[in-house]
Amino acid sequence: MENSGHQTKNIMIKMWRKLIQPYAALITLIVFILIWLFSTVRPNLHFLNPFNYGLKDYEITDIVYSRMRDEQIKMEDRIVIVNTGRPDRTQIAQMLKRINAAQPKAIGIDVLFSGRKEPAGDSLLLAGIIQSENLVLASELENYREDIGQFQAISGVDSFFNQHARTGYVNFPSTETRTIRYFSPTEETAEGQAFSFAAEIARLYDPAAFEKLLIRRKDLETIHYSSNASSYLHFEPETILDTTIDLTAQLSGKIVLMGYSSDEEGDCPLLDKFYTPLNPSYSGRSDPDMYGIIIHANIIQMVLDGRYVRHVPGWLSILLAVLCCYWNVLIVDKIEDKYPRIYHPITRVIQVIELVLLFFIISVLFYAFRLKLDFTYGLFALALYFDVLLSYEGFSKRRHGRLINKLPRIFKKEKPE
Amino acid sequence: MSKRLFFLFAGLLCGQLAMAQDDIVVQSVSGKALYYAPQESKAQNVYPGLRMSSSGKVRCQSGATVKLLQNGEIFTVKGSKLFVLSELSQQSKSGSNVGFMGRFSKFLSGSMKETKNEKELEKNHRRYMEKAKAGIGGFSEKTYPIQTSLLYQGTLGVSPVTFRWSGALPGEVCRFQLSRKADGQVLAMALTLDSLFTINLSQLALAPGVACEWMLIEDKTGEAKSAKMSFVYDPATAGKVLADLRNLKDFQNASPAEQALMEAYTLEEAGLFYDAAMTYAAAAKSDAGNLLVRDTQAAFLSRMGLLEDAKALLRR
Repeated sequence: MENSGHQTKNIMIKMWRKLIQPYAALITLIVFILIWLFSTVRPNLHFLNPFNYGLKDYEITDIVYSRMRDEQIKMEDRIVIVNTGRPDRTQIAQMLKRINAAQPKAIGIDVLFSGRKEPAGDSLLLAGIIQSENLVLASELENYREDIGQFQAISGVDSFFNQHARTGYVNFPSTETRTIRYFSPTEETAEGQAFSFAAEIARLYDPAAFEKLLIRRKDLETIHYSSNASSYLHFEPETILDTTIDLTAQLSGKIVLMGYSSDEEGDCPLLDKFYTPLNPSYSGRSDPDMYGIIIHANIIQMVLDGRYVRHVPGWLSILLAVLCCYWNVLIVDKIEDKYPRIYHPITRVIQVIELVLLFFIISVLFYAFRLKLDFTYGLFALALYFDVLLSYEGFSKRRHGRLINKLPRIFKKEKPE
Repeated sequence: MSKRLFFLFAGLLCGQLAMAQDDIVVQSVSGKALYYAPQESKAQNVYPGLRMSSSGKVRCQSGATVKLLQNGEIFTVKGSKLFVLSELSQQSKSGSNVGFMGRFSKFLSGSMKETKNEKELEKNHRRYMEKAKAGIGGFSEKTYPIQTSLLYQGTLGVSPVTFRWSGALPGEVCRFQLSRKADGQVLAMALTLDSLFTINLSQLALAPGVACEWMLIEDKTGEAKSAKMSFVYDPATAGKVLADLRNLKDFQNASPAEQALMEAYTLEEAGLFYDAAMTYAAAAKSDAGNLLVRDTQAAFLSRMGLLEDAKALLRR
């Protein structure tokens, strides 16, 4: 009994000795120093810029959205989209009246009613807004002051209207490429706390889901795009205004989102349209692919279902990257010992297989668990480790590689006797 | 007993299949369309959310479009011909919609296909190069206070050319400088307070096909205020490109507005962006109110990085 325990202990010690190799640790360290150098020292390489521009707004998970998404359309029956066409206040007022009569649970109008226009149209719209108790109007946050971390103004909706309805801001954080990946649920303003348009609508429809969103206390939430425009019932203005159609069955108890989302090809192709990760051209420039109102619908759906995108912590990503690199150095070492003549091509093949496998794992994690793993450092390490290893070996074999030769023997490729 | 069970299950299966086939939902309607339910003589209006029987029929009125959802797939019905809904199952592509693993391997094999031989690789490489170049930030890492557009890139054929820019401070004196790319020889220089400058390239000592660069410089300090923009002046290129187009039968049969759009598109394809812009502007002027011309011009301006101009055009 005692003997078998001693044997197990010996095996464990041997295994640890095999796993803990200072030589591999040194290679890993050099790889990460190189990655750190690359990431901090960015020479102004003009000739690389066209490539950078095409790929800078790209994430591996975009491929999951754009190419590996299930193409089967699943109808989202809690949300209905109503196209307002070119916003005309009189017509919107008439549409609002019809929609209100069908008793939806929440109505969101993604049209900015800034300033006053024709008095008759404005009065009609105001009457419609007053009648709608469950209405959210779109607004805009303006003049951010960094010193106090606060927006100074909520604009985009005239005081004539905003006294009688809730407002939610329609600002999205995005880079100059206009790719919408995140939304900010709440922001501080000079007038107090403001909620985003989608969050405010979710609050009306399902207060519990809205509370869950607030409890997360995230400055930014990654939008989980689960639907495209085809997943929602889509009404045109003429259908809403057609009094022969009873809208109650389609709108009662639902969320009605009114905004510009023309189905007509070529009709205002750019108005309120943005790039999303669903864009089939996941790198380089292409046409914007999603209307703002559909983005809001996706956010609402995500909040109602509580299906948020989770992120692997940065420290864990780096730790995984370090382990992955270290493990590979050990494996290459073993392969070299066993197959010294062909270890070079074998390692290259392993590198390619590993890259594909990693891509697969990242995709599966995101697709199945909505877990986003930023493995950029790991991918860089995988691409670099073998070349670093070869350079290190070559350098230590030369006579002028005095520095390496001065290191203790454990840091050398040849193992101590 | 087992026979009974078999028939019960078979019956349930058939019922399920029939129900699945019957489940056609209208996703959206643009314009007016009518639905003829089986064994009912009176038609009813089609509206989103309406459930239809697969043995029913749909007729769209002129210009109308109906999108139908069946078994997770969207089908578009248009045209005034009476459409029998049972035909949807024949159009279905649902068999090709594989699982995640299938889509993953399809993506990988697709990526490999794009680089399967040198010719393909070269073709695709060029495609990505063009897409990347379309970004206005593709010239240098540094951001300049004055922004220009992609219109003044590629080949310029027409003359005079009005160079425009944005971001200059009011009352700021800028030096407009046009020089030969090969040796940096300055061909034209002017101090301007405006945000545009017109120059007749045909009057300059410029051989066709010679690459030039233009930029805006701070007059006092000599500091660059804009990125350098390169172009080639070649008045003959546009003529050659358009001559080929004008020989086409489709072009000859097209309406004047369509001809103008075809010309503009061809010029853009050939890298004559400024010439294309001029053609679009002329078409918009001669055919004011034509929505197709307006929208095509807006799309072109957005491709050139002039998004605000495109939006302004659409708001009109």
